[in-house]
Amino acid sequence: MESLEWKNKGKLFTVYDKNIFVIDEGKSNETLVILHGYPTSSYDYYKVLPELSKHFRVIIHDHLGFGFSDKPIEYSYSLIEQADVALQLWKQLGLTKVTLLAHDYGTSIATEILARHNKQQIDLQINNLIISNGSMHIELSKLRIIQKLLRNKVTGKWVAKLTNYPIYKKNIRNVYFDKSKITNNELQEMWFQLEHNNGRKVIHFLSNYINERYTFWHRWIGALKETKIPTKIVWAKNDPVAVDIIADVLAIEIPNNDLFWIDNCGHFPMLEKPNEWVQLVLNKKTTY
Amino acid sequence: MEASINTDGFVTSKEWKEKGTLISVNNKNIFTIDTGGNHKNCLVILHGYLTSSYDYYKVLPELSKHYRVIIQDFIGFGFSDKLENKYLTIIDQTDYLIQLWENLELNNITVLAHDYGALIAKELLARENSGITNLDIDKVIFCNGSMPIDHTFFLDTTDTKKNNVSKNLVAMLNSFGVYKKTMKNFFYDENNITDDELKVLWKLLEYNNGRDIINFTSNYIRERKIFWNRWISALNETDIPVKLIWSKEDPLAEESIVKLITDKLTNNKTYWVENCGHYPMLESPEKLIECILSE
Repeated sequence: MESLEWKNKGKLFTVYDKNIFVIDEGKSNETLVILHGYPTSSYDYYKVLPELSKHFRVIIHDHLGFGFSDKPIEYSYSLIEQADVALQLWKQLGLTKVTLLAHDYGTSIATEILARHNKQQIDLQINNLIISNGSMHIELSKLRIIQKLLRNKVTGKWVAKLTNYPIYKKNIRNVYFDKSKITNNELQEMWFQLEHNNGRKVIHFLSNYINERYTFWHRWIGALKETKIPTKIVWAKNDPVAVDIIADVLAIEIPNNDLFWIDNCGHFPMLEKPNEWVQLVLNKKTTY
Repeated sequence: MEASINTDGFVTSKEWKEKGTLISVNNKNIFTIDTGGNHKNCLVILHGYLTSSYDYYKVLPELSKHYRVIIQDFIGFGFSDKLENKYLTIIDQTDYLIQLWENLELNNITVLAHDYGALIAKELLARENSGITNLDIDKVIFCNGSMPIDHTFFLDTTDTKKNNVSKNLVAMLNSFGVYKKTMKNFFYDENNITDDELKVLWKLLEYNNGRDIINFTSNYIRERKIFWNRWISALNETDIPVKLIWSKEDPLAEESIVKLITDKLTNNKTYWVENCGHYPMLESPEKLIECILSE
């Protein structure tokens, strides 16, 4: 699917004076809210949206700094603020009961939301939590060289300037299990969205989240350990970044969880193995 | 320079402890002094780093004539619960604080924030601005709270700043002798803090595990960077009146920070405390009270 076609599916909402791009599809009474990963966008879900929206009203927004949302320069881009934005957006949409699904970068936003949920600071009722390939246990993850460079004070800005489509393409390809599963067209669309609204100027700011995963380790892992929300872990086994051991650890820590593996699949299971991934997300429907 | 410190009112840590109670908030005990009384306005004091509510022992009697004064020891400090080898962030401290206010049913709140407490006050403003909380804050008073003047977006991955701070703290907390010497350096006139007072401060520090406190430090140094834009915007966007009370000879929170803060604010007033270091509540208590109470 082309970026512009995707863009036409969504709408811009004003949240805290910033434009946030939001996909809102499906007519079910049950709502699924999705927090996408880094450095991509809601577009990651274009293959699975048709099926998901048969079962849920699906809300996916581009985080601030990503995709078709605003990319302000003077902004913290903290995961704490991404949580503020998500919660405010959902409030504006009138959502009260949701299933929360998070991938990659989005999983840390989800843990911040859980921390607030555990302390009863928010009114939102979260019926179920679904976590897919995110390096919440940053100490166990295998960061790509590009991630290390981007989060570094000295190299970050320059790497961001020098990053170009071939480098991007190579990095995304490398986190796939089967590199033929992502097409050049898809990669071009992803790159287009990254570049949209001068996105390359903020990409190194966004990379700061890796440091936050250390700073807020106890808050966020603590939130997972305390949550009472039924949780499903859907994990692609061959992710070179968010490695399988992270899922094993999460399955031990989270009180009420089920772990499902997707074999022969890399970091973007919703793109690489969309059918399998959707089935796992939707299965055990009775528990919803 | 005349030393106007009245040592007659000296309070031991035991006496101080008896002034407060432990209040359970999200399963942590928070040592809280609540002077109560029939006052319309509350003054909530957010104390500084490494010290505790005890910093305010000289000013509390007078302030409690004008306000219902609440001072709590932040978790990890003073008589509040220990850290249990966990990083506790400014974000966490703010959560606990808001919950404590709810338990105490505080209204008409004036916040007085010093040092580390100023970071928590900025986080409170950020949440108020975005409607995440709806607290009844009438005014915020910032007092000698340090923050980086220039913002570089990146956390130093080698964490030089953090390591330096940690290194200095390890050294400082090595023995009472070194602690005493370091603390005296934060005063304009080192005679303005007595050995008895320093012994209490040291005792309160020892009450918790020093090693945890150092880990803790590295974390808030990181947060000052992560949230620089968030907290500057919080000042920029707030419509709550802000007062700054700043002692001029503070080696930790330089004068230039005042300009950084006031440039962002529409409704503010600055009061300077002359010949005074990082702890005006201990070094120039009368002057501090005068500045707090003046309209």
